[in-house]
Amino acid sequence: MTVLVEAHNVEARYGPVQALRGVGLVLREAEVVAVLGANGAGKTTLLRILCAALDPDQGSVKFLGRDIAGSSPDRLVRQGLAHVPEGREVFPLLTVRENLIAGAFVRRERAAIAADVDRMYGYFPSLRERRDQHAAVLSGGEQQMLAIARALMSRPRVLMLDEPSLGLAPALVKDIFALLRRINRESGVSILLVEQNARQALSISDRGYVLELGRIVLDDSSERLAANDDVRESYLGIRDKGVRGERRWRRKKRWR
Amino acid sequence: MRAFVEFSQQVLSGAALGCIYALIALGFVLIYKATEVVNFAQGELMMLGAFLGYTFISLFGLPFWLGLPLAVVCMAGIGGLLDRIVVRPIVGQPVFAIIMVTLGMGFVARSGASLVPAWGVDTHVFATPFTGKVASIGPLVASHDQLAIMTTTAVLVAVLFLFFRYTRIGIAIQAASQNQLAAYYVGIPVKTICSLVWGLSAAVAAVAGILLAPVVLVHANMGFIGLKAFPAAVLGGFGSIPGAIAGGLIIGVVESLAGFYLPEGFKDVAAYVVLLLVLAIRPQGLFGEGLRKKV
Repeated sequence: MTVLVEAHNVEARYGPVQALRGVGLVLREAEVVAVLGANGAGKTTLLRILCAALDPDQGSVKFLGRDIAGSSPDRLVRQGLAHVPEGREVFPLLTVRENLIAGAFVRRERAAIAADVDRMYGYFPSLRERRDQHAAVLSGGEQQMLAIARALMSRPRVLMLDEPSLGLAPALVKDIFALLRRINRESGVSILLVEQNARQALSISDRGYVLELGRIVLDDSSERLAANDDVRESYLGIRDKGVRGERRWRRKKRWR
Repeated sequence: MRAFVEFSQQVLSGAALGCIYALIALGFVLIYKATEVVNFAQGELMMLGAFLGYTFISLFGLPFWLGLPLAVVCMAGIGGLLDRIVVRPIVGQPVFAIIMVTLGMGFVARSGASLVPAWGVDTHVFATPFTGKVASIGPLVASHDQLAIMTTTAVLVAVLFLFFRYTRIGIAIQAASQNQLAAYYVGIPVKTICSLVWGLSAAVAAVAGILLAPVVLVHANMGFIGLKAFPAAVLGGFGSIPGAIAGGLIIGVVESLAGFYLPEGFKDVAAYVVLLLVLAIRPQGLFGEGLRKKV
């Protein structure tokens, strides 16, 4: 399968703090890939670098085989990379419909855009009900749906999401993730999902990376990651009791 | 009856002047909304627009309906270039730096205009097809200049409304003004949009300048009218387009009434008195937006 996004040895620092230490990552066509990590692991920094909002201090990122150094998020959208930022960031004083139209800024075919707006209402029926209301008055879940729909309006080949589950009710998270999987199957868009909610992220992804303190410490298929003891313990909160009822702080994580 | 006619007459001429304030205030608001920069040189942009119109129409002898759009297009280009060359490099610096730069642009524009040989420090008469004609509406009298100002303002505001509401670029401008980061993420080239807004705002200023020229004559200091348009923008709730229009009209009418009914001197402070009163009661301005950006 074609490689769409390829990060190689990416390093980033904020002053004295090193946020990423040599991260490599690959996203192929039609894949759903999860990047798991706790607060401060470097997830958001990684995503910002992948969409050219931030320049890495070292290493390189390629999108569709071309180095993105010196590019900018708006140019990458034109080439087919859409980004749903952390915290939703909808346009508060535009209506839901206008938000979607703004999402299609890089396209010009009016009829196709209108058809896509309808397609988004199909995916997210509650957006259709609220299409003429300002985005500011939507609930958090609806804003997240709007942010995803808005990103899809550019017809991307790659969709990157930064913690779409943040601040949402668990049932809603499940719905949104199931929908992401469905959109991936139907339209073939590759999805890179950066998440703390490991259980949900692994349930819809094909592969996953575990990011800890700026390093990729695990990289495997989602099934195997979900079965991995360390992931189970650190991210899924499941602890299989050992024979002698080992305590967590006694055990060494194998990846360190 | 006579008193009512007098009053209406003052309101009419106040509204005409108010339209000019409204157009300049509109320029303030457009730039502020899109870039969060307060452009104190807005009045000077209007002055340059008036001089360009004077140059094309009176000096070069072009027909009015050719000279007007030409001046407007030139000013749009100048506005875009100002953003690209002067403003963009200092975006992100402290607010006072940006304010000083726009104030400085105003000074440069004033002295620059008086250095141009054909412009100089003199006042110039600028005749438009409307000059010197008077229409009577019942007992009221209005010069064609005044009617032209009001009609053009109304048309311009309607066009801008439709532009922002229904066009791709219009929605993109609104989007960029509400959330720059998100605008980048959906593929809107925010920097280009900023230059576009500066161009748009300078174009509106040029229209205002050319409309105002027959009324107050063309001279290098005519941009000081921007000082009256500024309270108009604040009155409407800085950042609201309908607010800028309403604010401009209110200031114009109040000024005209104050000049007629109150003793000498009240005319020039009337705008500020109204502003202070409104802000004391409604600090966010008449049309100020209650919604704040969520962090």
